Amino acid sequence: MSRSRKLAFVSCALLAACCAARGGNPQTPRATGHLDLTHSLFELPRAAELGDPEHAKFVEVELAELVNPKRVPISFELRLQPPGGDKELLGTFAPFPADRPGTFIVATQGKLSRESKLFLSLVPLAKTRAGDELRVTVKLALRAE
Amino acid sequence: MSSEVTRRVFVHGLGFVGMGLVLATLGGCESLFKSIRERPVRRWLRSGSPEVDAALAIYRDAVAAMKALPSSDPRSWHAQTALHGTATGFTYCQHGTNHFFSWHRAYLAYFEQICQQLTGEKKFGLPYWNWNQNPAILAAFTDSTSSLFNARSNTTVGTNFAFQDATLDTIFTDTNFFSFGSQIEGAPHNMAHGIVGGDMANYDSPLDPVFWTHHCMVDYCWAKWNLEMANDNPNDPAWTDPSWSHFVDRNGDPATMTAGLTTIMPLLTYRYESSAIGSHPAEPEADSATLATLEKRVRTGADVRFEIKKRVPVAERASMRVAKPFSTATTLSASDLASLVESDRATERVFLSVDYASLPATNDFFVRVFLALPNAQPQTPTSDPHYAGSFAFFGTSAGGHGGHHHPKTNFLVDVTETLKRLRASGELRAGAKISVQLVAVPFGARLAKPSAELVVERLDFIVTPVHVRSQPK
Repeated sequence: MSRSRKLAFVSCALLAACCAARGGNPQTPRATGHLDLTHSLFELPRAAELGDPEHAKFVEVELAELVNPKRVPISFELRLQPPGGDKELLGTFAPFPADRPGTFIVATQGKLSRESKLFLSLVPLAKTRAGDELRVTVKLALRAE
Repeated sequence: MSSEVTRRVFVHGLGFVGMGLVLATLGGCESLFKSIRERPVRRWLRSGSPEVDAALAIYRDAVAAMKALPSSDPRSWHAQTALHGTATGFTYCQHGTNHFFSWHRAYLAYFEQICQQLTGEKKFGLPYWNWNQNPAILAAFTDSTSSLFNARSNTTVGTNFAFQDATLDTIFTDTNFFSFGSQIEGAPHNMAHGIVGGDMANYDSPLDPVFWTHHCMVDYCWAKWNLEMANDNPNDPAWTDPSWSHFVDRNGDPATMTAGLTTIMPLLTYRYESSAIGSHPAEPEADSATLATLEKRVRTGADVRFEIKKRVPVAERASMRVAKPFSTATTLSASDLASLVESDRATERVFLSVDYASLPATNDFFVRVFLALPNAQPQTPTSDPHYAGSFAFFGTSAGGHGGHHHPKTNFLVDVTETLKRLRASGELRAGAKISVQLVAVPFGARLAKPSAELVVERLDFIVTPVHVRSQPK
């Protein structure tokens, strides 16, 4: 079957890997949160704080700082809650190895509105012990491409 | 000056490239197309299949043979693992980059060759663990007497959301190679490493034989998305040209692979036994007509066109000192970009393509890109309206991650928003020239080698969109 496609070359820009991490784009609003084993949920009351959620293709989550010396396997779950609606799991991702920062994307699937709430939770994939050191600084942004 | 560029890139002459690849990887064939037709099959790991059992038996023998080799042999289990990483960090593997798929495809292909050579089974295809259809690792990997055994935290990914149909269906609807790959890497790929645990959770994860079947599934995700679902790979030389020379072939001799060549490997050097991923079903085995089409593609080249509306040279072979900001004026004028910058609704984007002739001597700095700011300095804040983006180097010319094996490196920076800002502020007027600045900024207090030279091989403005048209598949 013959198909014509637009290849959104735009995202190549993201291949300049440190753009977001080292300087960021001054046009991109970001929300910053801190998670650990006792405070494992970051809530963003309005997706509009990140820009134009209705035209965003992805929520970009940068694990800007990740302290996990024991490499406890961890993952992250991103949920949205529309006004008056229930929470819905948008997607998950994990760092590999578990102490390596990075930038991840989760598709919005066109479900974000300006008043949507976003919830990012830290979910260990293995049992943790009291005293385990695990701290993450997350930065959320929206991506149109 | 601007130039209209319409190029056949993805192997106009797929046949030529394919021929070289096949001759290189199959050792030279009397009947090239017979070899392609009969190339190894990578089977979907599952119980109850005699073909899968046979592949597992060969894999078991191959792993045992590799583990028996001295670590000085580049085909040994530890040497192959060390290509990816060691206990303390990654070596050559690509994670979080645009070559996650391509580097690992090459890595698997050479590993598969070594398995074939050490077992004498020339048609061996590495089987893949389809964690979507079969969340549990097969019993062959949990038998403590087997060479496939490894201590693990879990032997199933269970019901984790990353492997569910809903997640994978969402990811597979993405037609953009880069964001598709990023999602596959971040969700099922990374998650499986963490859940399985043990060696799999670490930089030297290839120590676990499951690693290879897991990455084979990642590779199948790419192949299914590309070949079965007819999505297209990028064709720009910035993506296709990078090459890696740290691999070894079936005999342990050095081998080089370029990213562009990896795109045709599933057509020429192996094929996948199809299976379902999410709601995307298994495809029937290719019939003779389909094979003939593939052969035709190999002979005549795929009709894939990569259209860039404009590619405007800014500089060639320009030398800079790391400590001294680089500035060059371009003949590109604002009027060349009028249709873009005069409309906030334009869908086109403008990129600055930066090709360095080699990696820097140190990578203790990153590079900020500014437009129309000739006096840009490391202290110039990123809130400056002339700022466009930044990039950093992955490895150095002195060795380490990538080292001298990465003689060139390329970056793309989206400058669209900066151009629009400058237009809005009145700095970008019709007829005005646009200058480009590259400013090295140390990560720490100062640069380790401020006098080090960096040679910009090419600096271009690229105006998209990019249209890729494939011939009937």
